[in-house]
Amino acid sequence: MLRRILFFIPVLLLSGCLEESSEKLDRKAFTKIYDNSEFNSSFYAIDMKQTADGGYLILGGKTRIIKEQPQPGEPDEPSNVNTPMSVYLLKADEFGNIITQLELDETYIYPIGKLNYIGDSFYFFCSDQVTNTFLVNVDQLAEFWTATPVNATLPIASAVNTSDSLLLLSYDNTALETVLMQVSTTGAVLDESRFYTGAESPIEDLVLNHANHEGTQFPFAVGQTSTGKYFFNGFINYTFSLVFTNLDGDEDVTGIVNGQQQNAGFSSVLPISGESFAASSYNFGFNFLMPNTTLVTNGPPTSVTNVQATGFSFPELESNARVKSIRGVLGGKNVIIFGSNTKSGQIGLYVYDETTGEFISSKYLGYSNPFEIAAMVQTPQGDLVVSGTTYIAGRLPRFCLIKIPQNEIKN
Amino acid sequence: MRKLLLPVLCLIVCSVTVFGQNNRKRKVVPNKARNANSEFLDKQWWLGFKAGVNFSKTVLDQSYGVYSPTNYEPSKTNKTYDDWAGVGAQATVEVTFTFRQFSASLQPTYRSSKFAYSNHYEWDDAGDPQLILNYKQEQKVDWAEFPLLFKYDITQSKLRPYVQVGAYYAFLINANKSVETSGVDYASGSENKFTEPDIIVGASDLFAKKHWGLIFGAGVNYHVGNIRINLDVMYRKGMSLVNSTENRYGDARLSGAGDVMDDIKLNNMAVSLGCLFPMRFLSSGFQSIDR
Repeated sequence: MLRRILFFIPVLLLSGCLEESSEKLDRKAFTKIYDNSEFNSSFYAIDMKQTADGGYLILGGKTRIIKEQPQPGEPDEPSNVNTPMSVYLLKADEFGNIITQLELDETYIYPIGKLNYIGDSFYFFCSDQVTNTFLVNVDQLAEFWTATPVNATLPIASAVNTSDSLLLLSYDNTALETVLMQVSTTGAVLDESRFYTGAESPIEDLVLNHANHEGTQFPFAVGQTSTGKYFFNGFINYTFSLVFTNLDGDEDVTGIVNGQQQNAGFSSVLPISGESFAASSYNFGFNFLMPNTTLVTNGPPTSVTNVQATGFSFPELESNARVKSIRGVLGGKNVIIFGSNTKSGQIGLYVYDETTGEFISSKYLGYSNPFEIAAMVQTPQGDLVVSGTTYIAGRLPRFCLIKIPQNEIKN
Repeated sequence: MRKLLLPVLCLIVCSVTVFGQNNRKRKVVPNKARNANSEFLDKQWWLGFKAGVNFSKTVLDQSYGVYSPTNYEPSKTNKTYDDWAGVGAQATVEVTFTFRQFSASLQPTYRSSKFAYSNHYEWDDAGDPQLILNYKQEQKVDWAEFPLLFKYDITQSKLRPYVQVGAYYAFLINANKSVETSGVDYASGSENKFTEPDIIVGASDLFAKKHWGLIFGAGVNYHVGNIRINLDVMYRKGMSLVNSTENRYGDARLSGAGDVMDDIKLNNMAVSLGCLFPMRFLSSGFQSIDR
């Protein structure tokens, strides 16, 4: 008997720790690139949210190069034309596998973030060919959708407010005004404030080129602080600035952090509590991360140059980098996670202690093919999911979805 | 090294258990007809060294991919494995105990194996190919193996063919991976064949720290003087995964380039040549093949 035990103990010990396929591990980490065989189609991720079933919904846009036949009197050769960016959504399951794809008809173009989750549905804004704004409602599986017109032009940023209605930042290119409005989930405008951007400035062109993705992409943003104050990151008075407002009529500015024309400003703003924010800024190509900074939401104007003096400079980030930031919990600690694009074509993740602003860790995603960030979410289990756009062979833009286990971020 | 200690001890315990059984049998079946010389020659310890080459074949357990197609069949992203193509090498220290025609053998081995797979992707414009990409991923993996084998000598002549069965337990020492990218670009104006610089990375984290398998084989011992020249053929059938399921996407350089390993087991065919020395001598003129 003893001999048998002696024989089986080592067998049991040796058979332990062997690798086995596991759904749990497959759920914990993955990298997915959603490829399409059409060479002339490009897919750009804009935002992503986790759905109730544990999967992910990616909002993005699709452009195609099509051959347009010559008009009478033109040369015989057909010409290549880039179509406007249509609305394209991809629903993946918790393993990153495709469940559904949804491409809206060509009436609806230029979708913008965020992909807002209210009730059981997702909401986002887009335009039509003549800059009218539409609110699109999509179900969790990206199977059914409706589009409702909204009384606004050139939508440029959106968010959910604390009363489960939508905040929309748009630009009125007739009145040359940035417009901040509250919109119900049925598309009705509940409230709005207008902010003059200035006459004879390049702002109109800049916003138009941003909206149709033919020019510099500005980090427009809109949101609400924990004290209920609204804010937007956009153009006002010839400058790209961060504006705080009570939405109490036009030009209602309670606090403002001025940029420098279009050359400096905030690249991300994340309210923490009261006047405490996690933010990032760009300044003539340089980038600064501020995991814990105080902004005057109700008081005299300040300048982004002064605010960023307390931030960390990141020369590795691309010029005027796009930055996304979320609040999260790692190892029981509240953290701020910044995600941005590096000069080497990677997505850089930078984790800071929310309370102290101390740096905790960093991680870089992607190699060989360039990767650009679109959005981040932290799952209820603490893992981090990053969506973005990667360029297969450096030239084919496609959605990507990367899930990183919590322990890899902590370390 | 401490990690290696326990399995080695386990194998020794197994060996002792088996040999103990043999010893006990011998005591209950006395052979009065044998003389002392013959009884001595019933048993022999052999110590030797052998080395050779090996070839691997992957057995797909579950397929994984980074590319998830939105408008073509997912099966088109499956990897194509080059079975039995990569040449590896192994070196073995053999300790064998022989009782008449039966042997038990412990053969600690350093084995380096190679296997490769490839992916093929195409992008087109209304059926006209625009870009073709071919990825070839080659893995070179080094293991410390501890096989325990049981052999049976078919004849007892000077040339002794044998068959063997056993099992091995392997510990990962090191792994490297290279990704070679090539393709054809039709979209830039004319057919342009290109090759990208290889991505070569240390890939130990992508492989299982331990795996095990069964061994079947045959060989032949040729007695020259007191030593045995040994030609040995072993077929290893992998019984557990050789890839790491936890770190599958752990290397951003590889997953970012669209590469991720499947769940695979590895079968291996090894051919070795070596020599064995007897450890027990009756006299200075002793011939190990006197029987």
